[in-house]
Amino acid sequence: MALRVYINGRRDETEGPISVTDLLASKKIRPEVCTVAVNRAVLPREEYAATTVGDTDEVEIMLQMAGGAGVDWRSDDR
Amino acid sequence: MIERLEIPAAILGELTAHARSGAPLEVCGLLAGREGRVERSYPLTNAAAREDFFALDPLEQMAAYRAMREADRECLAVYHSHPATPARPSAEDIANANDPEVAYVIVSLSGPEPNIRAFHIRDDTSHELTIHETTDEDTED
Repeated sequence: MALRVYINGRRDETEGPISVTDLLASKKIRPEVCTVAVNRAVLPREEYAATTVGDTDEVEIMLQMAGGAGVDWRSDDR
Repeated sequence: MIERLEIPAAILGELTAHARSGAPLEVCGLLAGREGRVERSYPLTNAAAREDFFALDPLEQMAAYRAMREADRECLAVYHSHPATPARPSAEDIANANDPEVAYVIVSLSGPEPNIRAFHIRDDTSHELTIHETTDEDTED
């Protein structure tokens, strides 16, 4: 059974065991732009390297969804 | 990648109402459905709580994804408001578009009437997607 991984809600599979750091690297996801939950508990970023996940684990990766108007817009440009 | 985005008029109304209720701060959320057809909006907390920036609360984001899966829906788009600027991706939007698989919907309140547009953002480039407004109001869980 493969490790259950969800990236922004989309199912993905990876062979475990694997560290969270290596899992993110395998998906080309930078740690600074995501939040990771293992079995529904958010994992502190400093624990990614030391945390190994396997076939009985469920990993949810939330890519940071952000942005905003910023200050680079002309108010008359609609 | 979403190629077509159908949004019921009722949900477009929800997005406008959410943007107006949160102004002057930006509001944000997710849109879910099947095969490009939006069936439900998930208003989420703007963790940045700013007039010119938004960030989805990651715990609410996770809860929304779980709810989508339980309802056999997929995340189709992330939406946010531009209370005082146009409905086009800003430099901030493009720089922070970390998920190229979903559409980015922007609700602008800068003009006399709300303006809602959708975009793909990939590789630092945005392309507009046409929003097909439908009258189907089936937004039940």
